[in-house]
Amino acid sequence: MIINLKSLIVILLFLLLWEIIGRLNFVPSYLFPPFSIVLFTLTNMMLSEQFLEAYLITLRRVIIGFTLGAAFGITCGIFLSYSKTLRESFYPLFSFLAVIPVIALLPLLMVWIGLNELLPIIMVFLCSSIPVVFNTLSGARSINPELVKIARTLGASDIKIIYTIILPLSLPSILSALKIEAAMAWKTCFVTEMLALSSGLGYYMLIAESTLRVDILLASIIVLSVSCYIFYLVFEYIESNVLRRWGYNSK
Amino acid sequence: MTSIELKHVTNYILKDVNLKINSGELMVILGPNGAGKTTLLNVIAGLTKYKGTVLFDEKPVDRVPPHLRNIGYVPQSLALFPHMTVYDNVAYGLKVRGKPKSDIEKTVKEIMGLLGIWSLRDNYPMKLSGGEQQKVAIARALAIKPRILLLDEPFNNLQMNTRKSLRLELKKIQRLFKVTTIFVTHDINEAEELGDKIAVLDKGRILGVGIYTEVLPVISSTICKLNILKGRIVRIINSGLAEVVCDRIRLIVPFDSGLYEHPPIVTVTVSPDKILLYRVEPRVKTNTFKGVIKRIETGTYNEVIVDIRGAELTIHVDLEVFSHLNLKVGDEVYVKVPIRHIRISVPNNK
Repeated sequence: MIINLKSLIVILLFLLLWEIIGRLNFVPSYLFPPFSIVLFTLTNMMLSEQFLEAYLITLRRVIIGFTLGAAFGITCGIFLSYSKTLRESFYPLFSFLAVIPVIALLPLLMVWIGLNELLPIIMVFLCSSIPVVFNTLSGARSINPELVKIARTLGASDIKIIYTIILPLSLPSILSALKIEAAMAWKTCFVTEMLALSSGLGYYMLIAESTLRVDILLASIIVLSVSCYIFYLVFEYIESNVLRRWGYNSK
Repeated sequence: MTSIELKHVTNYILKDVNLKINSGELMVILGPNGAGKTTLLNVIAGLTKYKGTVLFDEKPVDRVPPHLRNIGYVPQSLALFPHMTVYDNVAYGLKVRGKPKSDIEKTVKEIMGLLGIWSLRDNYPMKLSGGEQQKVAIARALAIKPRILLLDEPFNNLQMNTRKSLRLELKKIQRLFKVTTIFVTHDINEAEELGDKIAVLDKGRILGVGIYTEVLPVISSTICKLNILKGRIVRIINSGLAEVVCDRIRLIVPFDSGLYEHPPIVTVTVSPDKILLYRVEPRVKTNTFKGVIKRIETGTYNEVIVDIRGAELTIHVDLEVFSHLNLKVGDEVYVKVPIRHIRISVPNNK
């Protein structure tokens, strides 16, 4: 995303409006704190051990769950693309699983797994893996079949074809799934923590809510959205770099 | 060097194909779109199912998987790997065979040097011109030192002059590597220029195999109508022209005496859409003959068959001219055969 002058003006106006409404005291400032106060809280939060601990716990859960989910999704997608039999047998099941909202599985998993560290990781795993399966599959299926044929006549075995041709050429579509799913992973982890756990950023917000610290709630939301966005940017950066290297116009 | 033989090869498109290609030969498969040319190559490469037998050096290879057949294949789409540099594309076959790095570099450098593309080694295929991409695809196929080279209309999307120079280069390289080659095309000129032998394929069947002049009648009856005249050179006018007598017609034809030492009987071919038809005698009278319209067939083309002193010429007249001239059977017309559209071939001159 490009931040240009116009978008910067809109952002600044938005923050200014927030500040003014907060300062006008229509509502008590503890219910609607102006932006400057939220910013101040945010800086304090960044320095507090309690917040950092909660943030790192959430970050760890997101990274573990997301990495496992992505790895599983890519592997499944590649295998499904490679074998017609596998694809025809598993595709309907995957399509069915894909439409289940992961959050709806939370109560069930709370019963099955219990309220422990595994729960958010499994939740994140589930929400990241299924869409990646589909994108990998469609990426691999869109590869010109002649490339595979040629690789075969040049002497490549199935496994070599997978990691020299299919995997790299599916990368753009895998990355575009990861880009979107990275933000989804944060959201899922966050909700799990709010509803089921007593640690992490979600729980941190829950405490702030119970003590009516609206400024902390707003600051946490900013932290969450920035975290999602950074993940998104990382994948977008990799995606456009890969494509540019191969001579495609990324935009 | 490897000889190839197909015995009773049949599948969803090919019908009982029998074909023998001697080792080191360049065989052109000529046929219209949908004739089964690509399928034939896929059969030889082991990429499609078939009934019958394929033999390399008299040994059946039907059970040999494609990656062990040692074939260099240049498909119509070229199928260059877009995520690899030119160097990695050419080196791919050697890399997946686990050859040592120094060997790979030596071979790749040698082949890319021969084709004059070594300077492009760090580029990605998308950034190359059409002609350069062709060369990369050919280099990639040759790098594995294949027993057989298969080329599927590789010069299709190129401009005329690039095609011509690539053809010459291909011929040179094929001789150098002494690799048995099958070249698929629908272009008659390409077939004549490249092929040691030509096999004409249509609707899954081989209709004729032989040198160009031998298969000309088959080409004319299946791929595109041609006026084929047998003649004898009576006079060489200068280095570029000669006079040929075919039946009772005297034609001035383009003739490069350097190419043919003792010209025997020659075959003259002219495409029917290149011959001009007049009601009144044109002012320039070279290769202009008076004749009588014998038949008119309207269809895909307006085909006019003109009798010139016993010889028949088929002429395709475009619709506008056809209606303007108001041609009828029995009319006297003048026919002009432009020199630059005449092709002459000498049997056994390869």
